Amino acid sequence: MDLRLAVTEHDGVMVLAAQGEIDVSTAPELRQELVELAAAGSGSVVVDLQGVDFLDSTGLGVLVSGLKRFRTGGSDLLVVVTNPRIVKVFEITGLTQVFSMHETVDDAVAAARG
Amino acid sequence: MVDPRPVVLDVPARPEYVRLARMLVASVAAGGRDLDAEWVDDLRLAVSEACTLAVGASRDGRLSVTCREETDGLVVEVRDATLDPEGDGLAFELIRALVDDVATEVDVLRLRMNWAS
Repeated sequence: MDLRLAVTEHDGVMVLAAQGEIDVSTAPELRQELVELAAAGSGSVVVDLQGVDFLDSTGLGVLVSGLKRFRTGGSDLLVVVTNPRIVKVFEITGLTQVFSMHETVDDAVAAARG
Repeated sequence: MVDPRPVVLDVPARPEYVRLARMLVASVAAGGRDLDAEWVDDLRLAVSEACTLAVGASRDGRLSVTCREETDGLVVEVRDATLDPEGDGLAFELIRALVDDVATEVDVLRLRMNWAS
């Protein structure tokens, strides 16, 4: 019901900060934002999930399809996660091996800049 | 104290009701107990996964969730939430990892979480 998304730029890298809950009801908003960012062609995106307190497989699915979209375009989708309950969701599904995961936006931005 | 009377949620099978379902089940579980926060998070996520499956597969346009306290655990039944390990990869992995037992019957997915697991 309640997901807030904000896009900012850090050192030339787009950062999409999400706050609230990502489930079957709100994931379409995240998908739309990622599609638009990919279409804009402004390089890699950092998805900051530090303000997210609920994430289920619908949200993971959106992140995975976003990852494929960005990597197909020669860039990347990196995530910032600190909340243990969100980290756990990535761990159970083995996605810690798939995503470039970081504990701060600065780290992720640095990784995105290569 | 275990209250054996089931709590039933019957609402339109729409995405915006999934949040309500997981909040309701978490409230039933909490009833007077001192539950570990991680236990409640696991329950909320498993219920959310089951309800998401049901919203996508509901045959009568309803999302129907029944939650029942038992002596050793909580049982949650979600109608029309059949789990296909081939087709629902992430949801299947999460549910299996989070609950103590999962059973699929003809038209119901039954999740069980033991109180002290």
